[in-house]
Amino acid sequence: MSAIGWIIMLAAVGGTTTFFLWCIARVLSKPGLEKRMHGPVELDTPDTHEED
Amino acid sequence: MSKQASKEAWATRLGVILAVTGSAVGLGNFLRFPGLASQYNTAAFMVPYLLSLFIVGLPIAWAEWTMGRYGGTKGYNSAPGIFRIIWNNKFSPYLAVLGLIVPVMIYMYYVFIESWCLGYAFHYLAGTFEGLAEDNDKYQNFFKDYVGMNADGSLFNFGNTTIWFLVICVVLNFALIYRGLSKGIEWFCMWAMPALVICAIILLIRVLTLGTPDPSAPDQNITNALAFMWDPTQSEMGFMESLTNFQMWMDAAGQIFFSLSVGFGVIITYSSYLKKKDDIALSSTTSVAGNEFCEVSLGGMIIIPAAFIFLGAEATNAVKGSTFGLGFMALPEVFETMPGGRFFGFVFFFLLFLAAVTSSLSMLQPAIAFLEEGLGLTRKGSVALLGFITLVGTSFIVWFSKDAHALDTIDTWVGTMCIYTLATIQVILFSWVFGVERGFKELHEGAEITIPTFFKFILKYVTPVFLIGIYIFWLWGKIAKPLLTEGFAGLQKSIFPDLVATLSIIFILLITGLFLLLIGQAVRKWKRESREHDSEVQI
Repeated sequence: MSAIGWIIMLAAVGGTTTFFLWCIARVLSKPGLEKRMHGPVELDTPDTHEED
Repeated sequence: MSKQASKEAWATRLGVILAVTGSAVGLGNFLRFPGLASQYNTAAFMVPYLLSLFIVGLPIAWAEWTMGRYGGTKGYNSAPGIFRIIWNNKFSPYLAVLGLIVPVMIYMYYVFIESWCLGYAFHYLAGTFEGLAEDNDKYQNFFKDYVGMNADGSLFNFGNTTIWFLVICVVLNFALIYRGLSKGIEWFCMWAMPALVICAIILLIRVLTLGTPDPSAPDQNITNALAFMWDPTQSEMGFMESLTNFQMWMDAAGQIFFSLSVGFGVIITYSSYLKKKDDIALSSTTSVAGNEFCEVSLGGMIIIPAAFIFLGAEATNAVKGSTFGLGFMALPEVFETMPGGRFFGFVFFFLLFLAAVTSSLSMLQPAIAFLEEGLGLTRKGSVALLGFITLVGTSFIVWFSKDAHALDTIDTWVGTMCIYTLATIQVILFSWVFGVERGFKELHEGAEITIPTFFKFILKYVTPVFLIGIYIFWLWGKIAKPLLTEGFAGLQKSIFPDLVATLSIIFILLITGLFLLLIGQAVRKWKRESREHDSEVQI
């Protein structure tokens, strides 16, 4: 493979991987990943309406 | 016009990101992208591809996430409800019919393709392909028999395993949807997406360590295989020649568009379950980045290099333009020749299966949300009704399986034309009706990153013009050109070439009519609720 081929491949693959890792690192570094234990889903779903 | 917020919600922030990424990552990432890019000149292809990502993909994703969350905070989760909130006009909910029929009708054929992936994964475990040797005709015949391409109705017999795998996929999808947003979709995506990436990395390591597996063909080695995919000097088509090829620009834009699942009506529903202060700027960008990682970094490094090493340049060139040809006819031969191929073949098709399930699940949720909030159905009722509608559609597609003609026709009209139409409507709604300034302010509520302000200009002018341009070009090729060159006979040949195509179009119109009627019913319900709410306030 020519030098330009290596450069293009590494730029494309490296670029998208870096972009993804940067985003994931930003997401994981912020609070809010913990499960919302008191979220409404746990308490009330449309199914429960049927039983009422 | 607001009503009480939905009772459903995402349990975690990572969950919604993985669900949206899962919706986007599908067969197109691992089969269509590498085939399409290498069909031209991959280096040249990346120019319009990345350009489209920044002027179409990302902006539409931000617009959809913003409108979805905004609609959700007003108590609506379905496209008709959200459109009604964004544009207070009596026609706006009816425009959103596309946000229902696009995911529902794509699901009807996508679940069939999903079942092929599961079936192939099973057949690798069972060793079915071991007897086929190195004769590609046998793989082709197996595939055509397996998916019923030889004759209409050929799959409808009790002993046919294709139908059983389809039943498993349908039951799995509806069981997860029935469990709800958090316990079904989010739970599945939370383990399926990491599993999918692990499968892809296993395959990537296998391909990159193949070396020169056949000493009698020393040119078919990993370095040449990567060059075949990525090196502009090795490509059959020159770099500048490709860049001046208008069709390549269209294909690159289309790939970004379909790959990101923008214009599907899915993101707008998924993001409607977020809270007002939940970040959407970083979450939407992360889901786009996740899709690109799967497509370029994983998809671009596995399939075409593997096919080159085992099949050679000529055979790979012959199949790389066809997603099904590459995935279901050429790759099984590759895995049969690869050391440990039975295991890696299973891993590959299981990966495709996971990618397909996370996508098909997302196609059901918009209609479920609509049936529940628009018609007041319970979860059981909405799942039963949608299950019936999709069962009729999938049965239609599976019955008319000869040359996958019904599938192709529905994909052309719903999977292409309707998606472009819906995306164009959504961008115009966001930029011109909701207002790009207001939209950006809403996008930045709770945002953890700042979107550069020049994207306002892109969203207001560049993206709509780009989409309308592609739309006109598509209509020109499909309708105007045949009409002008061959008259009504040409138009008939283009749109209604045969009975199956005609029946498929009638079927699309029937489903559209059904959902328009249901939207009318929902609008009456919402108006009634609004009046009741107003009178309660007065009392």
